[in-house]
Amino acid sequence: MEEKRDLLMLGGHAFTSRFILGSGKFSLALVKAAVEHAGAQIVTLALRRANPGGADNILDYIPEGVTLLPNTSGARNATEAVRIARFSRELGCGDFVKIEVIHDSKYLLPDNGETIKATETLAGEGFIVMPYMFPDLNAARDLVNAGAACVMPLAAPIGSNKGLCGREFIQILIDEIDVPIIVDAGIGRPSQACEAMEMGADAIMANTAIATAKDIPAMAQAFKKAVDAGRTAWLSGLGRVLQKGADPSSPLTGFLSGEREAV
Amino acid sequence: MRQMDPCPDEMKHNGMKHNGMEDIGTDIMDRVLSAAAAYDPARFTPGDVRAALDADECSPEDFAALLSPAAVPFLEEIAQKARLETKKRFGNSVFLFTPLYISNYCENFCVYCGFNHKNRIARSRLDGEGIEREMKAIAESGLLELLILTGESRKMSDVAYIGEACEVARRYFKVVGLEVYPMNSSEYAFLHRHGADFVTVFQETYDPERYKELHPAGRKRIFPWRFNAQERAILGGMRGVGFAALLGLADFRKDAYATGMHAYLVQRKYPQAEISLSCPRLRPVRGDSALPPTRIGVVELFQVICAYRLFMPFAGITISSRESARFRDHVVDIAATKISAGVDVGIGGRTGRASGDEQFEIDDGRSVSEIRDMLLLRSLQPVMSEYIYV
Amino acid sequence: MITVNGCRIDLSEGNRNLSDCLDAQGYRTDRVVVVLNEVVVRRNAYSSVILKDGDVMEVLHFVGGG
Repeated sequence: MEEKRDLLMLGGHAFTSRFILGSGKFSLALVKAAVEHAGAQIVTLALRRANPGGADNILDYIPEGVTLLPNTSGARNATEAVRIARFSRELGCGDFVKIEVIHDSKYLLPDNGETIKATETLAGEGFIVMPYMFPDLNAARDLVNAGAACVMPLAAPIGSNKGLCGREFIQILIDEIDVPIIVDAGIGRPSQACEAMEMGADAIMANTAIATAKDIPAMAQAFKKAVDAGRTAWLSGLGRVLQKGADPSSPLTGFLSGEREAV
Repeated sequence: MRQMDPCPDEMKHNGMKHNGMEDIGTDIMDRVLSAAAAYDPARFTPGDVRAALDADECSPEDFAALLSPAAVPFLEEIAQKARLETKKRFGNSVFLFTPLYISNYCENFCVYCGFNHKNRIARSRLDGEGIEREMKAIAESGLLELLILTGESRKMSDVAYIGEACEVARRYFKVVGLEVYPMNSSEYAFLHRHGADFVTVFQETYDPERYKELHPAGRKRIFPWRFNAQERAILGGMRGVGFAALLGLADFRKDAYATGMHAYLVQRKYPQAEISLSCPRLRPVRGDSALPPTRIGVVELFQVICAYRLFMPFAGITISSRESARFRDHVVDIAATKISAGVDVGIGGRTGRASGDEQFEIDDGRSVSEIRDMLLLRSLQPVMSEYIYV
Repeated sequence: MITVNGCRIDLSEGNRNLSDCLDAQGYRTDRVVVVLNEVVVRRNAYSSVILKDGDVMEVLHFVGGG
């Protein structure tokens, strides 16, 4: 029997890795090792004002063949996100974009309403839109209807490393939404990435957890292993959990034996 | 060898063009039919059933396992879990309603149905006065939910006529549902404006070949027109839609699986819609010729109802008066949430002016007060309506 | 005088052409996107764009980000 390959599909593109690496807060020298140790096939980037003088550019440190996923960080509303996405595409790195709209400087929580608007515009322009969002079922449905290629709910406030604070709500998205669910933001440990994958998430994105580790490439590898383990567990079907106090009450089906047949 | 087309001509959307039938361009039918075609109930093992029972969220694959023959030995455990799910969502509430047949003229030739155009039965249609008289009698029994039914004749019970019946019904009842022939979304919108808010359409069987044999002529022969009725009803503004296969017409496990998948996909596409399922079994009818029913016993029927509950814990499940009082009494305490009472499936019978024959034989003929007393005796709460029309 | 990434720069014969202007400041043209007065300028058009007084230009590139 031919074994089916377990692929993550995004906008018609197939990936075997289910770990997306954020490249922020790194020294450029470590980017390549981190990408390689993470086995990442997608790396996120941000767009900023360039420095004069031909300084090192992050693109020089990202291995060949890795898909670049520019984000729209810095956007405070849909209009700004759309502009940043359009500028990013001019750099000739493909049609992927991660929409990120934030106008709250204290908690940095994404604005789902503006994100939906930006998704609709950019999907209409042929972008492969990957929206970062607060895990809300109605908003996720609107994003899918607007043309999102996946939905990226946060696990906890960005950069917090607090783990799966929104567990129940992410589970609802996993159960109800037909596009890939990529848990993004707040994942602080490999075990949390593993847990999200066991729940049925399609992929994990992390940045700060790795960027703030003592040994960045080693932590990248730990995440890769955790994501793989969680995925395999999900595909294998988790074993059962015995409910405490499960109590076989009086039989409910006894009445069936006395039931006369009508037909 | 030529591969059999799983979808004969009448099954395709292009059959609808010449009949003024609206095509809403949905892919749900193709998805349901291919899932049903791939469903092999014999493939499932006790291990699959165990896994389905242990799962937190019942997937389509789990549902398929719960409907399989391998699940029969697990029926007690399935029933326990179904009961738990029902109580979690609905508490001890059980909703009461009654059907009102306002016309039994029918232009279809369904070989299993008492209203078959060919059958020489007494045909009748209530006029405005008759409708009001019957509704008044029903309302006096305390019911607040009415299901209006007609035979499928666009000539003898046109949309305007059904609309008038809805107008009367909304004066006597809080909830008005329809079980009439499939129509365009604009017609559903019209009926919604006149007071109807729920539409049930039985697909009868989801096996396209069997469907063709059972429906030799008439508009009903066009399978997708019927299949997509629930979606058109939702597009027309209806609050909820009901699904069913008439179990026994074909392989009941496959039909039950397809019914569940149909409801499941419609719910995912229209999350705002309320979903309900019915579980009718084939009953003897007048003019019942040499149609050998594919038998489904009570045990299997019970299995189907429990599988529906576990797959769609939030859905309403209606238990038909085709079944015995004893069976219904137990099922409303385990998985069903709605029960008909004071049922009459002929025309005009509630006010002693029976003028048209019945669609099928009912088994449980108890009145509203008898059903209410039964529920109270079982510590269940009879609920007449918890509904808002907006 | 034009504004590039917020900084004022005097225009002269040596940098009036966009391509020359970017080179003069050492930008790596294969790694940047240029937005001139809110409009993106395609790479192959750099040498044909003549800058004028009061132009506002943003030169953007990718950096690390999550």
